Amino acid sequence: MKIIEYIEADNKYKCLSCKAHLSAVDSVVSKEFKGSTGVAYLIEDVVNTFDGTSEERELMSGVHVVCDIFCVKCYSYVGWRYLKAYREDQKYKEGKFILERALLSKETS
Amino acid sequence: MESTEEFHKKYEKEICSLLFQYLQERGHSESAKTFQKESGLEIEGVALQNFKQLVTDGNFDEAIKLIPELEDDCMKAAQIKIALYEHKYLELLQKGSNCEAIEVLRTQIVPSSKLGTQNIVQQNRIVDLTSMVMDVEKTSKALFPYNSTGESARSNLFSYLENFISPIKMRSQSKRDNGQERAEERNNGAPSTDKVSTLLKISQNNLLENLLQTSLNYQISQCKCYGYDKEESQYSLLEYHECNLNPPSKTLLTTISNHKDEIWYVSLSPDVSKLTSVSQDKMINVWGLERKENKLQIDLISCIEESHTNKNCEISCIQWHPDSTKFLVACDNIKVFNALTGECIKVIDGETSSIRSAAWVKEGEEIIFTEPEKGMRCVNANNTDIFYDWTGFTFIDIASVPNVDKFAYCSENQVGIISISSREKIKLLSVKKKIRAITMSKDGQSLLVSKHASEEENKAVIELWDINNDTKLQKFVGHTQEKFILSPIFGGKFEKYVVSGSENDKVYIWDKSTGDIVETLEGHQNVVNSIAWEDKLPNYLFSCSYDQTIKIWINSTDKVQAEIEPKYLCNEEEIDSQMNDDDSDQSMIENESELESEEIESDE
Repeated sequence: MKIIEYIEADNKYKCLSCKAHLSAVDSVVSKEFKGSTGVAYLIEDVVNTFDGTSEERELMSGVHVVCDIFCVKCYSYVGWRYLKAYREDQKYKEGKFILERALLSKETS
Repeated sequence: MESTEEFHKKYEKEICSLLFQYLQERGHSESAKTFQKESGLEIEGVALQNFKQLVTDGNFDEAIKLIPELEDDCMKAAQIKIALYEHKYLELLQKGSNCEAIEVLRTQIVPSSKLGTQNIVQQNRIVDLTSMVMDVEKTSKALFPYNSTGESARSNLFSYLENFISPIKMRSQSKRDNGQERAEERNNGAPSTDKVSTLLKISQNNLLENLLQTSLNYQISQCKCYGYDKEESQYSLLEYHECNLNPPSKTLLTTISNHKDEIWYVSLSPDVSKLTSVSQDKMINVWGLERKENKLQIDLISCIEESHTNKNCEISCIQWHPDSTKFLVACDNIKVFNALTGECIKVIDGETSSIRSAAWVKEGEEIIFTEPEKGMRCVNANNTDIFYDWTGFTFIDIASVPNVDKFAYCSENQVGIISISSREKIKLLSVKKKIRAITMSKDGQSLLVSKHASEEENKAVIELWDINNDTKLQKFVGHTQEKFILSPIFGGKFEKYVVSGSENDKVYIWDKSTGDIVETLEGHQNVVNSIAWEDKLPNYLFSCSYDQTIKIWINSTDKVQAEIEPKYLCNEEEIDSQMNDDDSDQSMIENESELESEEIESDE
């Protein structure tokens, strides 16, 4: 049985297809990113995902080394994460995650 | 260890008293008498016999004079004296001689009630004794610790007084009497064994048998092979067992499979007649096991399809009912299946559609289950709630064993214990982060906690915790656990071993007390995630793996064969080809995602 982590916060984002916990609402850094489905959030800490293959990609803000991330439970695509940034002003993104808002469901209590 | 001679001298009297008690208890009264005569023992000290006679006759004043000979301790002597006076007082009241009784109270009880500055008799008691004059019968029952009415009142008094006379004093007292005799014997070059003079009174029954049993248990617990290839009947009282042998290694007996996908759990029924295997192909197989001489017969009893609607839900738990006829399976709800027929007897729905762990408690009358999104709930056979905890704590796993009044629960960071009967939280253990699974030992005293890698430990570790003292007893490392939950179990007789699967395809067996790896079993070709090893079937270990097989392991010294229909036996080559199919599926997923990501652009 796969290890599924549970986030202990009142407000969290979950995977739309399988409701696995992905991140707490409080760890969102910025809401002004864009992915294939529309709005995407830059988030500090995300759980229950695994990495796809990493590659260099030309994004709107420059060339980065990124890898896509998928939900551990249902294998669906949820976003990507930054592994390396070449421009100095982009370095802050390294190690952080992007989750596409349309692929998430929000839980508030 | 002392030499036998020294041991004998020190404990001679005690050994003889034990033998005498054994002969008497077994009904060999003639032998007991002969033994007593030959060893020169007396059943009771002379002074004690006289004392007994005086008490039974009611001659309390004379009896009191004998006290210094019986007991050296001032406190105890004073207590005996008071007890005798109080009984004398009681008898006078019962006869009706109130004046004499009050005389005894004034002149004998009250002055003796103080020893120096210490109160032997409390003031309240004097008042209570005085009030006895009004109603003897009623108050005597309340005040006297023995039955002080009726014919046997005086012998009850004597038995009560015996508690104050320590047996060791009896021994030294008679030594004084016979001291002269002994001195003469020694001078005359008497035999080295002194003649014992008094038997000791033994308060426990069957003391000799208990001592021998303790010794045997110790030998067994020191033997590494017990529970591995030696059974209890192979140890004898006639031979002190001390071996430094290591337990024999385990070898593979056979590999069986009836599943088309990863096998997640194997579980033995409490009466070890059945084994269930649960697989990702949603099938649950129930295998019947029968041990005949040196054959293990395995039959497939039933195949059950666990049809759940939510395809993202995985079967998370399977637990046998204590009566071995049914088991529960937890997935998006809890279903109870009859093991022989395979029909679904009951369905219990949770509040959310993912149940993480469940257990039978109270001999199978109630089920406790955890839903990480909601909490923990306990239902009984009629589906009515017994209690629930929806406080927002993320319950992950629970562990319970039959006949123990507590169960353990855990979240990722905390382990707690709850009492089953009072439903209250007893305590929290100081186990720290990254807890994945817990297992309780059969005696309810210790808990195995399986943990992920964290800041403290870079690798996965299994810890053994003592529940009562909240201490970490041992830790077991060496296995790999990164992506999957592998529940560890206790194994072997006295639960001497701790066993766990691992993500490096091996089965790990550790010694519970030392923490050393006893053995690793290789043979599976993928993650080994569940093990079953019950001490009612001590020589067989069942392991299951993502390679779709169940392997049965036996000791390399056993000559056992497995009897099973050939279609369930596994061919090693077949497994390899199936594995390759799975790999190609995985790579297809990765290709699709790469296509998607090329279209994404990010914006600030």
